[in-house]
Amino acid sequence: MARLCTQMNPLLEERVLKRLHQRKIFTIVDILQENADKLIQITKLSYKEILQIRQNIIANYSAFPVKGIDAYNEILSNTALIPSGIESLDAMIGGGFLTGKIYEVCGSSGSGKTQLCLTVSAHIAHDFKQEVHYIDTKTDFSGKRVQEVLESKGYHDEVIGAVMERIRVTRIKDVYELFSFLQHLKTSLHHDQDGHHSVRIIILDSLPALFFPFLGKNLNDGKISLFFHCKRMSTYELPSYTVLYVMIHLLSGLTLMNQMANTMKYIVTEYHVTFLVVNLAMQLLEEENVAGDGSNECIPQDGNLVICDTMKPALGKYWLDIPCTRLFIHKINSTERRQIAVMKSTSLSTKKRCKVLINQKGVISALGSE
Amino acid sequence: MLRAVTSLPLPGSLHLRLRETGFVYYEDLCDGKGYGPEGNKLVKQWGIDEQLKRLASVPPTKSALDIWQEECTSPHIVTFSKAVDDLLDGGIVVGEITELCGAPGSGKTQMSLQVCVDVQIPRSFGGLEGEALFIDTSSGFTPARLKEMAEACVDHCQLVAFHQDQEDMGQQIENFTVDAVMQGVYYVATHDYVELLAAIYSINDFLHQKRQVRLVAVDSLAFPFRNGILNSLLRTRLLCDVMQELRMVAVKHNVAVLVTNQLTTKIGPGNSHLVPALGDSFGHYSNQRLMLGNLQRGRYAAVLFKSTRRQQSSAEFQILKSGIRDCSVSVK
Repeated sequence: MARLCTQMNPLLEERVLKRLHQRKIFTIVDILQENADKLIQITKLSYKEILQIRQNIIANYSAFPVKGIDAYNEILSNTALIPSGIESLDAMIGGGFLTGKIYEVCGSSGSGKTQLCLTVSAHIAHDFKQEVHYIDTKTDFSGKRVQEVLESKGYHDEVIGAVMERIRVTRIKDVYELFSFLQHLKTSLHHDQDGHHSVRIIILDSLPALFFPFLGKNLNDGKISLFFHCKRMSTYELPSYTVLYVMIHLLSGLTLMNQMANTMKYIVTEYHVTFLVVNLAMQLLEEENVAGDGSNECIPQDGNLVICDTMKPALGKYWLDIPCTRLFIHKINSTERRQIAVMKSTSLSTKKRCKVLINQKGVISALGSE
Repeated sequence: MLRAVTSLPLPGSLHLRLRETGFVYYEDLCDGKGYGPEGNKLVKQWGIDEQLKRLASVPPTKSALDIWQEECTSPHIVTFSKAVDDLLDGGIVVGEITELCGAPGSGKTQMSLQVCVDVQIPRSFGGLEGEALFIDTSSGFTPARLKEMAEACVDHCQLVAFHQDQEDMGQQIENFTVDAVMQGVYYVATHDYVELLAAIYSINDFLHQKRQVRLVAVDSLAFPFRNGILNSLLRTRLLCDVMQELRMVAVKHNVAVLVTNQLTTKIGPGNSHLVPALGDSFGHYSNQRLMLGNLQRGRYAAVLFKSTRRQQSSAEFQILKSGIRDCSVSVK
C-alpha cells in the first residue's frame, strides 16, 4: 500500500503519523521526497531513525535486480507460444501468440475483427483445455457463432459444451468496469499461479468503444465543464490553478488509458498471459507533405501536397506503442476473403502478410500466404 | 499493482478531496475485506459508502454456453418477409440493436412501421404480444400508413384463426383489432438532437411504467445529428453515449431496438462512394447493420452488412399497400 501506516515500520507510531498527516505527508513517495531535516522537525525523531525508516521503506518497496541468466531462465520456463489455430496466421506470427505480450487486431468496421477473436477463443479453449477470458464491451459476443464454429469442426455436443463452458465472457459497459474486472482478474490469477497457468489468453473486444465517450471532452466543450467544476470547487478554498490543473487531468481519457495500459502490462508480464485487443481502424483523409508508405493510396495534387487515404488505428498516438504487435485485417475484393498484415511489431517483419477466409467454419487459413 | 482512485468514476471534487487527504489508491481506502479505520471514517463522512462499493463491484462473468442458451431462447420479431427474416436469423432480435441504413426511399421507415405492427401479434400466432415505442426525428411517422399495415395484419391473423380453429387463437383474435394495434404504438416526436437525447435517456423510465413494450424504434437516428452539431468529436461522443444507453435499455428491459441511419458520400482520392452516415466509429458501435436499397419495379433489397453471427448475404422484398412482403417470384 502506498499510504503510510503503522505496520510499515515500528518507528512509525500513531503519534508520528498524525504529525506527518498534518503536514500533508501521506504516502511513501511523500516521505521519500521530503527533506530529512524537515522530517526531523515534524516527527521529532532522530536523524538515524529517519534514515532507518527510509531505508526500510526503500528495501520493501523497490524492485530488486535479478541476474540476467535467472531472468532468462524464468522467461524460458514460463513463456508459451499459443497457436491461434489458424495455420496461415500462425505461420505469419511465428507459431502463435507469445505470452507476456499485448497483441492488437485492428481493422475497419465489418472487416472480421470480432470473427477472428471468436475463432481464436474457440480454438484455444478446445486445444489447450484452458479458460479463455473474453471481455466484451459492446455485446458483440455471439454464443451461436462460437457453437457454429465448433460444430463445423465435427466435435461432439459434449465436447462443444465443455469448450463453451471454458470461454468466460464478461460484458462491461465502461472503462471503469474494465478496471474493476482487471483488478479482480489479477487477484484470481495471483491465487492460482503456483506452477500451472489456468488462463493464458485474455481477449478484449473492443477497446475504442470504451474511450469514445471521452472524445472531445478536452476540446471546445472541455472549457465549459472545466468552468463548471471550478465553480463547484471554489467552496474548498484552494488556489484556483491547482483546481484547473487537476481537472484537466481527470477529465481526459488519457489518464484512464494510461492506467489501463499499465494494468494490462502488469497482468501480461506477471502472470504470463497474452492480451489480444481489438481496435478500430479509421479512414482518415489527410493532407500531408510527404508521401506515405507503399500501403497507402496516394495521389499527387498540385505542388508537393499529397492527399493520403490512410487507415489508422483509433485512440490516438498514445496508444500506438502499447501493443507489441499490431495486426491489420482488411477485406480483399470478395465478401469472405481477408488479408491480415503485420502493421507494427517488435519481433516480426512488417512486410508479412497472410490470407484467410471467413465462412461458417469461422476464420480459416486460405491458400497463397506469403 | 494497485488501483488508482482516479480510475473510479467519482465526481472531480471527491477526487480532489481524496488527493488532499492522501488517498491515492483504492486499496488505501479498502483492503478487500473492508474499509480501513481512516478510510471508513472518510467514506462515512462523505456519504459515498454505498456508491464506492457499487463502483468497485466486479461485473459478472458468464460462460459462452450460458450466452448461447440465452441467444437460443430470445424471441424474434418477424418482418412479414420470409427472405428478410432468414437474413436476420428469424427476424429482429429482442435484446439487441439492429441498424437499418439506406438512401431516401429505400424503405427504412416502412420497415420500422411494419415491425411496430408485427411486435403486437398475439402469442398464439407466434408473436410477442408486445407494444412499440416509436421515436420520430424526421417526421416520417404516418399514422395512416400504420393503420393500413395494421388492417392487413389483423386480416391476416383472422384468416389464420379461421383456418386453424384453435380455441386460444379465437379468444386472442377478438382483442387483436386495428384500434388495439394503433393504441399499442407510443409515439414521441423530437425536433433536434437535444430533444432526441432527452427522449433516449427517458426510455428507461418509460419502460419501467410500460412493461409491455418490446420494441423501441428510432427513425432516424442520423437526421438530428447531421445538422446542428459542428464539432465532429462531440457528435461521435454523443452518439456513443446514445448507443451505450440504447444497449443498456435493450438488455435490461429485453426489448428490440431498431435504429435507422442515412447514407452519405465518402469522397476519397479519385473516387467516391456511398457509405452509411455518422462515421466509422458509429459503424463500429452497431452490431447488426442491414442496408436497404430500392431496386427497380417496386422491388427492394436488404443486404446484411455487418453481423457477428450471420454471413454477409442479401434478400429481396417488396412494399405493398399491406406492408412489407416477400417478392412472390424471386429473381436471382
